[in-house]
Amino acid sequence: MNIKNGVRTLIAATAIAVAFPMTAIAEETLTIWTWRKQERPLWEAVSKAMQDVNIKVEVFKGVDYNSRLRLGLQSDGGPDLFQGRPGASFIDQYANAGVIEPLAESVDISGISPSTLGAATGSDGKIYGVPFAVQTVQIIYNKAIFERLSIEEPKTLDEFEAVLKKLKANNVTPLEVPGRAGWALAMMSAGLEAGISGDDMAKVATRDEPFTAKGYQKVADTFASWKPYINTSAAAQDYNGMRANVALGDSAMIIDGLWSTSPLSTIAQIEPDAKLGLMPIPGDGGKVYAFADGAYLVNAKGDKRTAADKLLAFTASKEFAQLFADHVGELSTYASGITYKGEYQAEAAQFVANQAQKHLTWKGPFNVQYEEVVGPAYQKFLAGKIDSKGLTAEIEKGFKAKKL
Amino acid sequence: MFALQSPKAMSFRQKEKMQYLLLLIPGCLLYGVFNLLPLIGTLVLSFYDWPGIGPATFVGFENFTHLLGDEYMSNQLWNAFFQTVLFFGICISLFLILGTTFALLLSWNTAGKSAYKLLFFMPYPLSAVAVAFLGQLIVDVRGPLNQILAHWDIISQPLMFLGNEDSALPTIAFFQSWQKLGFSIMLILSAILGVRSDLLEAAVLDGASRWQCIRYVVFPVLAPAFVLITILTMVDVFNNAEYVLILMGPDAGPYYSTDILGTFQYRTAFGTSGGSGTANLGLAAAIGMVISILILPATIYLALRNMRNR
Repeated sequence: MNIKNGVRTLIAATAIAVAFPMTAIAEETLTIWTWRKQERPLWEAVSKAMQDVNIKVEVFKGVDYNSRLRLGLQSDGGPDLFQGRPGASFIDQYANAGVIEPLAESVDISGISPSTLGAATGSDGKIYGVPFAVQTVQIIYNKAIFERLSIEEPKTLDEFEAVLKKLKANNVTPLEVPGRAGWALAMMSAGLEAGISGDDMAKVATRDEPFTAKGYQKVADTFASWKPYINTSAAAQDYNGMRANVALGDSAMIIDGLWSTSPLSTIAQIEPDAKLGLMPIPGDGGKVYAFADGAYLVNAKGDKRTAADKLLAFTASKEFAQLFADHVGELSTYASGITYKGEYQAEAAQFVANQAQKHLTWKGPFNVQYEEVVGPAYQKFLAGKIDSKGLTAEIEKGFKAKKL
Repeated sequence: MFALQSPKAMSFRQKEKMQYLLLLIPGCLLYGVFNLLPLIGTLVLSFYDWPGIGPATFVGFENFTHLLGDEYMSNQLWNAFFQTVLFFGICISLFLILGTTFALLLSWNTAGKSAYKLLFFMPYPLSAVAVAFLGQLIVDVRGPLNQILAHWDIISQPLMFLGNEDSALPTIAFFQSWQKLGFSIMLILSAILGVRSDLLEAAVLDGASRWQCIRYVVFPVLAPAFVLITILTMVDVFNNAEYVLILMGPDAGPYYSTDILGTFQYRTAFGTSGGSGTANLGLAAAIGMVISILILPATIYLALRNMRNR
């Protein structure tokens, strides 16, 4: 009889197992693809916060990311969610391929700062994802050098030029420029647009005025006037070399993104005790270049769509925004009510709140073309082949060739 | 109906032909799958506008007219082509001159010959990333080369090997040549060792000097090795851009001064190093086809010359 009981128990157990599939009681594992390794701690925290979802993060090198993504989304091994680059030039490619779809109604983006939504918007005006990470481009300076030479943060262009002179007189490279990194030169140019020209960039940014117009010419002329104060080997400098020099105290200032203040950046890795200061690029524009770094997107062809949509909805919540601020150390795209613990975050958040540039070029609607045109033009300028007028003419020529 | 003849009914010549055919199949299959089909695929793709994902749009010859007719694109194409020729020129000169010199030295009974052979060949299996990184460290503005030159008062300001548009490409070509020189040395050395000793003995008996032996007996035998090295280097330089991509990225700075056909094609296909690039695989395929046409005459000439040498 014991054998009969045993068989009955076995049958009953099997029936229960069939009636309640494992997926109903186990966590759903979602895969997210990113080029931002600094987000690993965030997704661990999100996994803990969302009890029924386990998140697997796969990080790829930034330069390979787009190619990986294209392949992944057209094969079975693709992600459930992924981070997309900002702007319609990126969104359109994936929307046309049917791998992303406009946001479902279940995703409430009312809390997200409206100025960042462009990062997730296609040229059809529809929003396809949830923007993440507001980045700012400003001057990052070595505080120890400023303190040693009793230099105050300059507020005007004249004050800034006086600082450049003083630093040079004290054998410190005033401004380090990474001439080998075209994309970083494009970033620098965007930062200068905000500080030096601000709203004068309005028509240039929409291509209603050429880059040779007053708005951008002022940027090029001002940068040209700083040439005696930038590193002599600017043309040979790469991006990490630039950051290393400010960390080591050989150079006083760089024009860089907020991400360089992260504990994972080259600066902190080379000199963990380096004290940095942030300041807007001084000038008549009076703005700081701020943009969303991209958007979280759901793979519309993924087989875990419901869980992925749920996670996407969570990324638009205040709870996620606070986790983002705490674990990534960057600014969230959530409009208000987020507490920033980091000293640099809090300062940059003030820049965004008070003086964010509205007229985006780099990371804006024609993000891609901007990098491809502006970077090489600045390299030509740094090599001494063209002057500031030639620089703007070269940029305009490039945009026209790109049919913009 | 077609009926196969049994092997027994086949003549010797038929069997021989059958053997040739069977022996050709693996090579043809490999060549077809890995060379011919991709070539046909590239040709087809060159008539489409395709960002690498989603539907492709047929655009006819538009990619070719844009590439050759638009000043911005055609300037980049010809700049990349002439710089690739320069890159090839530097590499092949170093391979042939230094390769022959070292191979001749190794062919004599020099002390420690085996150790030298090993030393010369050692960089070849190294990864290009490692060699590029080491090279960059050496020629860095603060690197040992600049330190030594400054110490000897040869320079007052550090040289920007990779930052100067005149020196960046030759510097990268030198890194690549240093890594791959060992292969040329080994090819030339094996050709030298293949020279029949009785020919050399006869030349010596006739009163030929060492140089005359090299000039009139050894060099003519080396010609096939030189042609082979030239073809391999040409294929490598015109199709690959690993060193430029590692050191300068797809931007190929400063201001496209290190842009070669491989980087131009890569940049067009996958965008710039900021990672936000527009992918235009159709235009990149058109570039690939134009490259093939540009190097076709030289390839045919070298291939025919190689066949004649046989």
